[in-house]
Amino acid sequence: MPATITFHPLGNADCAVFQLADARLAVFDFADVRNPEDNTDRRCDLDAELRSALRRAGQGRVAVLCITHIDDDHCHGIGDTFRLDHRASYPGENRIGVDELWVPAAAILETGLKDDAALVQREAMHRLRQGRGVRIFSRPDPLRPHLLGRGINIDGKRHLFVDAGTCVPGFSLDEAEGCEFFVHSPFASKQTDGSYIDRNANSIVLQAVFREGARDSRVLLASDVTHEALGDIVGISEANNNAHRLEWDLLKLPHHCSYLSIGPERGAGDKATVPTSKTKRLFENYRADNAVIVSTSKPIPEAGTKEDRDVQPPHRQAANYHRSQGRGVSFRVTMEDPSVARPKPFAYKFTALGVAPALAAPDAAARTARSNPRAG
Amino acid sequence: MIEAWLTGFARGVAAAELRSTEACAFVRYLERYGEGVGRVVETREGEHSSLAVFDLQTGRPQNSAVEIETVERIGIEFPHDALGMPMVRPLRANFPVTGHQHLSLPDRPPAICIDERAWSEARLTWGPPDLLGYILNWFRRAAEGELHDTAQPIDPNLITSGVRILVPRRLLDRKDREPLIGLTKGDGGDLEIIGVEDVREGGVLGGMFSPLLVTVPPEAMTRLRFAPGTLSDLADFLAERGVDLPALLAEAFLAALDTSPLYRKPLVDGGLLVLVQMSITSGGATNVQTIAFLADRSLGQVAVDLGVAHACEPDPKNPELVNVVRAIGATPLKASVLAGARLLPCDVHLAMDRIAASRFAGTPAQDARRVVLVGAGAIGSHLATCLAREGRYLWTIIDPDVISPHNVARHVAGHTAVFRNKAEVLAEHLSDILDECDVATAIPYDVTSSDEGHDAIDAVLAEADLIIDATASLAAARYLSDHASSARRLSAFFNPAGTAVVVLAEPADRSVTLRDLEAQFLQNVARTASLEGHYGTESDRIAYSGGCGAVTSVFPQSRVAVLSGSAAIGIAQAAEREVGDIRVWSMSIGGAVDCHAYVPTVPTEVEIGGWTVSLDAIVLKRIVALRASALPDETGGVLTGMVDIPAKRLHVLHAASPPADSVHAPAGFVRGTDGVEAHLDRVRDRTMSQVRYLGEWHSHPDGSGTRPSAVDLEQLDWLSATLGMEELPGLMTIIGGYSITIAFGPHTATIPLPHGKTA
Repeated sequence: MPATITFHPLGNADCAVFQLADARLAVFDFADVRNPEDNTDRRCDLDAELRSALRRAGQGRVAVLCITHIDDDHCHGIGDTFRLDHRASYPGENRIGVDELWVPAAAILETGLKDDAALVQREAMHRLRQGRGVRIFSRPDPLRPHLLGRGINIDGKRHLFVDAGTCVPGFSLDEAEGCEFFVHSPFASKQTDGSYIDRNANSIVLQAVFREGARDSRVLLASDVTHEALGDIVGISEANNNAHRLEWDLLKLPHHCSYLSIGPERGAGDKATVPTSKTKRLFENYRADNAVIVSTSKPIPEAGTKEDRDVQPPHRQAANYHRSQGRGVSFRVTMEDPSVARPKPFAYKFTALGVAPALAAPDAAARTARSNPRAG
Repeated sequence: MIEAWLTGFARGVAAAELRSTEACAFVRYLERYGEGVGRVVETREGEHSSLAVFDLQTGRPQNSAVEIETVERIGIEFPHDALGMPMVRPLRANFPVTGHQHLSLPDRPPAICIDERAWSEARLTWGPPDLLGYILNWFRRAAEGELHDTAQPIDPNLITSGVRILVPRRLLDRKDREPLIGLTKGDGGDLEIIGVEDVREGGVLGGMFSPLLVTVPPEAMTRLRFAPGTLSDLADFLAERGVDLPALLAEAFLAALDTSPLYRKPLVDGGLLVLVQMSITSGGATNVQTIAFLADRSLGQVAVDLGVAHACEPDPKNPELVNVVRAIGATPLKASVLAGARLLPCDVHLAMDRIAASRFAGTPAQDARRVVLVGAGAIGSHLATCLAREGRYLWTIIDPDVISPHNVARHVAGHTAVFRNKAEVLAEHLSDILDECDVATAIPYDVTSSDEGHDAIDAVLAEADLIIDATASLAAARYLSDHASSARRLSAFFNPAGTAVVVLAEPADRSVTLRDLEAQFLQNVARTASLEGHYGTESDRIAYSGGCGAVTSVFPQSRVAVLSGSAAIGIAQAAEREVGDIRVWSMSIGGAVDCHAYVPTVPTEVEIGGWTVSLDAIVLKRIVALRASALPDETGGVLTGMVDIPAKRLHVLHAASPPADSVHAPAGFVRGTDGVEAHLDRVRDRTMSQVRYLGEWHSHPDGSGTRPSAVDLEQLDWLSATLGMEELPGLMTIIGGYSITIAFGPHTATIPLPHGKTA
């Protein structure tokens, strides 16, 4: 079975679920933002989608839960869906276990966190203390004083830290899982000062590679980073002979199709945002033919609407830029697909012929196999 | 063209109003459930069908093998008549030419062939999800390049006139360009192409046709997409591929006028049939496809159309004369003058020849090895039929017998073959299977005879690649084993009860002969649990005529067919390997079949006193081991094996362990008697007396050599007396540390052990 990636309609919020070739699931961000009280809310029930995906894959837990940064639109509701080891006595046997929690160093260093972000931090600290089930994306040493102050000595725990410019240990293109995760960001040099943290610049940005037959498909997961951060990534990768780590077949757009991830100026009216020289290389030169761009966002606004004037993404000019790229590129928006009225999750598979939409004619057997009909 | 075609359907008809209920159901399904895969664009109503137009997500991967788009606009034409097949038509002008597209008329968009089942079958389980699923699957296969299968016929079999044409491949391949002729076949609606040399004397009855074979040079995957409706269309299609059809037609006309009067008339006045042979090349593989079109007029009329002939009045007194004459010096006009000549596309069926037979059977390559089959009875006739249908071998069949009425109970021949020679009947039967001239010949003589047929038999055995013994006769099998031919021997036979079949196959180097295999097979019957009942039960016997030897057993054809099939598998597989094989298939009453295979071993053979004594490898190994475990004492036991008294051959198959009451000492051994009788009885009973007592073996301790001692010589005398009762010399085998001595009456022979002292 080729590996797949599934995107979910969550408004301006993220969750991409990989099913690896060995059937394990890796969840990148998890924002269960739907309001169950509101039956006009078109966002999906993420908890139910994830449970259904686990059932279809024959899995009891997820292999990886990666929180690329601890904004609410990337971790909302994780305490309701996942079993967090730091609160062992908390009721909820039915919650989903996590083999490895991946977080950026910022998730450790920030103070005064609330709600789900605080849960992520406590869980990461707990697992770090236990010495297992966690990966901190940072060089260990800059965190040493901070952690010592909280009674954690990182000696003997260095293997839990993953530095930019390397691949996450435990995943190989040549093993059953057939994938690897190359870390672009966060850069370790950025967290030396703990007093001020730019969360997005300290987000996890990865190139995930999936091998099927002789073909490697590359997915760039760009979290919410800005054009400056992307420019740094391009510059550092090119300088370190890692240009091939910038290549992509599928791109999860940063920050819900924000112009700020392309260049400094939004562009007026029907124009397209103009990229910087570095983001231009990333979005254009490092893109494969017939590539796929996914905007995890609300629908791209129509010209002249209230949303079109909003400073918040998605920005029509940013979408115009990505849509104008040619060479067979597909541009899809989570809240527009298959229709704005009824958005549904969609998936791609990583085949021996590259990235392909995963499609099936819906039928009764598949429907019944995904539901638990009850009789009284 | 697509827009023009669409105008044939009225717009603005709501989905629920469509006349085809299938179209309504499909549109409803797409709108309610299938939005992520297909988005309905519009519905239209035509004269004969309802049309659903939608944008399909094709699932195209980045590197698609063909130029399909991520989203393709598709129109499904649902005939108002529910018995008509829905046609799935991509509505894009430059939709790629791929395999699995229907041959479409030029005025409408192409149609993709999403389901290879006949629509009459498919509609039984048809539902909107199936239809959508089949369409998605077509696009998946297109993207993966799976439609580029050169084995797929160019023209799908769903849209032809239904006229079938049988064409022998050899006629398509031959270079001499002798004229071909078409005859009606079957109930008259179908045609068969033959070479004119095969026209029987006095001509043929019934309709005749004039075939023209056109060969298109190899090209890469440019399939014929639209069925040409007229000779002019076909000429255009061929012209694009560098073939001048009008010139070929004119040439064929002149050639037909020059042919023998015997078939001049049918060639000129018979309906014109154009056979187009195209080489399709894909991924390095080339496959030749042939399509055929039947014209609504004769070659002569076409020649008139082309201006190279003049029509003339039929002469009622001379109906044999053709009705056109050549226009001297004329050159053919442009193909457009043929626009009135309508064409009927026909299904071309290549005749079943050796190549086709191998392909259908899944045999790796056609196998035209020369095989001599000796014995054309129940097993011989069935296994040869199986193997010939798989395209295997050039057969020579040897059997002196005639078919008796009781043979028909389990033979490929029927009642009308009674009292005809079995070999000839089987050779005819095999020759009738394939459209090949060299399938089988017969020699109606006894393979062992020294007079009639002897030279012919020796010649075919010498020339053979394989000799298959299916005589069910030990004498014949041994004769074949000993024959001077270097061909590899195989043998197949049933057990007497008809519950098992055995295949013995020599290794390619003949290091183990059919005789050795027979002996080793019998030893397995004597010793192994799985073959315990091989000769154990006997079926009821029936007398079929007056003589007391004229009995046959109850053995139903159904069992013969299954077991012969197993034997055919065994023979075919063994003949494809270098190693030898002993294989037994046993069938339960309920029909379950078990297969047991045994690995043949190379025996050690010595000539002593005019006899040939073979010692099986397993016997050697066993006595070496028994000796070692008894040291420093001597040990020994009885020997069993097979004899062939006329051939003066003896094959030692087993050395028994010492009976419990034996007396062992460093300088002597007295073989006890406990269990010896039971052992020998069992071996005899299980093998129908074919394996028997042969003599004694004992060991000598280290340093004593293997020469018979004084005591041994006494025992040898006793042995000679005992076995002499049966005209056999006494056999004694002495095993030492370095060699084995075989004493045989007054003669001895010593064989060194392969690795010196073996412990």
